[in-house]
Amino acid sequence: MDYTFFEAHEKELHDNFVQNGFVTIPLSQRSILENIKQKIFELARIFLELDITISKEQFFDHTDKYLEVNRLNDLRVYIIAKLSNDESIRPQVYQLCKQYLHLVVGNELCMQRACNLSIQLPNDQTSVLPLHSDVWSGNSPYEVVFWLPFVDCFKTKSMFVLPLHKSKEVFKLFQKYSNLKSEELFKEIEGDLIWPDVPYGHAILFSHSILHGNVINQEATTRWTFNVRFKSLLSPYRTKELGETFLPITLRPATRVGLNHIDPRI
Amino acid sequence: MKKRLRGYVFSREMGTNFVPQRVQNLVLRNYCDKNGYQYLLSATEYGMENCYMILHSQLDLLEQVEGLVFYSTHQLPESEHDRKYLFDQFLKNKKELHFALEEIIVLNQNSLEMVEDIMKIRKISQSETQLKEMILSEGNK
Repeated sequence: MDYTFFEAHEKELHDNFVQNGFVTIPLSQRSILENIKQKIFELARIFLELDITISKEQFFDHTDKYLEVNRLNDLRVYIIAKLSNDESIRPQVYQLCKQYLHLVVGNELCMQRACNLSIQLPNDQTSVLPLHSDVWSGNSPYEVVFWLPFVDCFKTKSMFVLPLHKSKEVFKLFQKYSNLKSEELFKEIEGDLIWPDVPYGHAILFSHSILHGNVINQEATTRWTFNVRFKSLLSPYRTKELGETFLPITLRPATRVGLNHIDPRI
Repeated sequence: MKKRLRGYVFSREMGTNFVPQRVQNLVLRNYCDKNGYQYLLSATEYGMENCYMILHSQLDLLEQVEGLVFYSTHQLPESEHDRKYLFDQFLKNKKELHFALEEIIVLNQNSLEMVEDIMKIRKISQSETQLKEMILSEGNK
């Protein structure tokens, strides 16, 4: 690849992403992050009828004190539905990662219709997402996931990824692994997994073609994360289509002119 | 009073997908229930390629309903001219056009533009397979 059009810091990020399939990024617009977190807290407070004396930080870290596991999914679905109706959320989430999205994906983008929310209470076995690649189940390999924590994420409270160069080795030998269960495949590659430390105020951008997932959160505090997919508007789609899964967010005027161009006819 | 939406389903493929009518109707019913609309039994388009006879009949009956609910934007006519005619009928008569799968409502020029963007981008976006075939065939020249 000819890098002469890129600046040194862009080249460094590109190389990192191409090698590993993910990058951890700092979020400069802290007030936007705080605003989204506050909205989530207010929705949770209504749903759980929380006492007014409980602070936001206390709630996010120790959600297990206020929420039974059997109500976890109801809370999650309630918050996702409410935030989906809030038209300011998706633009705010885009703003948070815009700078890095433009470097990794481009500036003409589509975005998943809704942001997904994950809540992992300490030692909760019901919220485990086994090792997988989203591309195996119909997503386009041109998509990236913006994984946005609302708390400090580390060790088992984070997610795990198998770097792209290692994931490719698994894909090459897939016949060898194809009869294994996810847990067995996990054991085979466990030594190569990375568990990124993602302090609050940081996030991960990753290609969901790489193998990734999470395990039971064995830390003392709860994990709260958003994840949402972005994609270059004109790159190839698989079964997650424009309209049904993605909506255009930054269609550029030249593309609009092109889309509406009609060749003269004689 | 709830808004009444007449369902509109296909009996042929939409793009490269065939969706059973039962599934299309389930999605429409669910969409209407979830959003507080009264779902009126669907009109089923004929199976012949590019045929929109049933849709055109429904345009004559728009005064009986507040709008139509399609299963998907994939049911819209391929031709931009035909789509424009369709959208004009709805906007002129102040009727709503819903797409259940995409949860998009065409109510005004802005929402109409969004649907048109989606239709046009889909048309020019090559599938990954097409793209790879094209690159391979270029390489073999």
